[in-house]
Amino acid sequence: MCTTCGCDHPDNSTRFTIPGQEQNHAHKHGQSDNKDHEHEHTHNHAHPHDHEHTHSHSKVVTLEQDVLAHNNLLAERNRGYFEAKNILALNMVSSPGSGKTTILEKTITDLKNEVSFFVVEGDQQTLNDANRINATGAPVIQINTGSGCHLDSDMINKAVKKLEVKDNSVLIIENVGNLVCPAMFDLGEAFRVVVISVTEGEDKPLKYPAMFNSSNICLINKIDLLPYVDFSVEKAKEYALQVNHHLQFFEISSKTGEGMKEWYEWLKTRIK
Amino acid sequence: MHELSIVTNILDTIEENAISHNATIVHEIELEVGELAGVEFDALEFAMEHAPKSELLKNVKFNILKVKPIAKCQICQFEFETSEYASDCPKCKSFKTEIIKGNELKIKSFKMD
Repeated sequence: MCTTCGCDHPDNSTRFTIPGQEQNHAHKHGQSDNKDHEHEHTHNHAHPHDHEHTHSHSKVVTLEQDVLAHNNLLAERNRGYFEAKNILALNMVSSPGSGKTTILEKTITDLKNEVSFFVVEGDQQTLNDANRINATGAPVIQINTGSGCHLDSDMINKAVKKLEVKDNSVLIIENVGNLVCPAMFDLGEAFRVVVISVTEGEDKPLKYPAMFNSSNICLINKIDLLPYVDFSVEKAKEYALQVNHHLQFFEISSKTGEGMKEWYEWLKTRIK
Repeated sequence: MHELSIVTNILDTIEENAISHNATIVHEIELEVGELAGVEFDALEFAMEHAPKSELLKNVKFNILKVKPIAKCQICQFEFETSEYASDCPKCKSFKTEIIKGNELKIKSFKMD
């Protein structure tokens, strides 16, 4: 295991980076670290007993266990931790390019005198998003998943410890841009916020139902572009409600600020 | 492509349990997978074939029991078979339906020596 970041594989693995501390986290550790990276795992699995087997001893062990039990258990631990510290955790999910990071920048900038924000950024590569959030002044940690297509509860557990999230704050987790895989992985959030932008197809909720089904809030972003695109907000809402009739919508433009007030009001009422 | 990490998860769980049952070999793993579980069956099978396996699991076969989704209308309580999340109630036409079965992803059992 990499002793700097706690990840499991030396190459193509999950990396956690706080902007400004990049140099501490290159995956070429100093020579003194080399000893930590020696893994000799040659077990001898030979079982040299020759029985004469004329009948089968096979037995069936019943498990009845959820495949994602480990993730779900850790997600519940995260949830308990957030509740105890009065941290409102949001998991933001969407396809790439819907404007998640811009929504975050705008929200943090507009509310930073009233709300204390912490951000976990998830991307396969680069520190770009963490650097953008860092510029707003909010503490942020970047998780680079390497080839991974989603964040899981274990990554959040580690990231939150490194980020030192304070009590009575809002933790926003920006998931990897992907409308498929992150749907299955509970991170311990209080609310899942799915973002769809008007430059996408209004039938996204029908095409990627698992994500919309597992979300609580739907932000319809880039509404300033509505005059230029063939996107019907009403149709998008109708489709989304077919998949999940509990969804609550906010129509926003993170660029012009239109509709952001209602989103902020919702956010503020959730902070106890 | 989260199917590979799902298969890795399954193999780890089975390995752990097989060791605690003093298994010398695991023959078969039985899974219950809902058609709305969010996994692609082809990708799952591909991952099962190619995921790295330990000595204990090297010859393991997967037996997948597919589960047909059932939705329940929140208005008239009617239960019906469906194949998607967005399905209107065939009886009262309401869109307020919930999937009550068919999104599970479960390890049922494994067969070992």
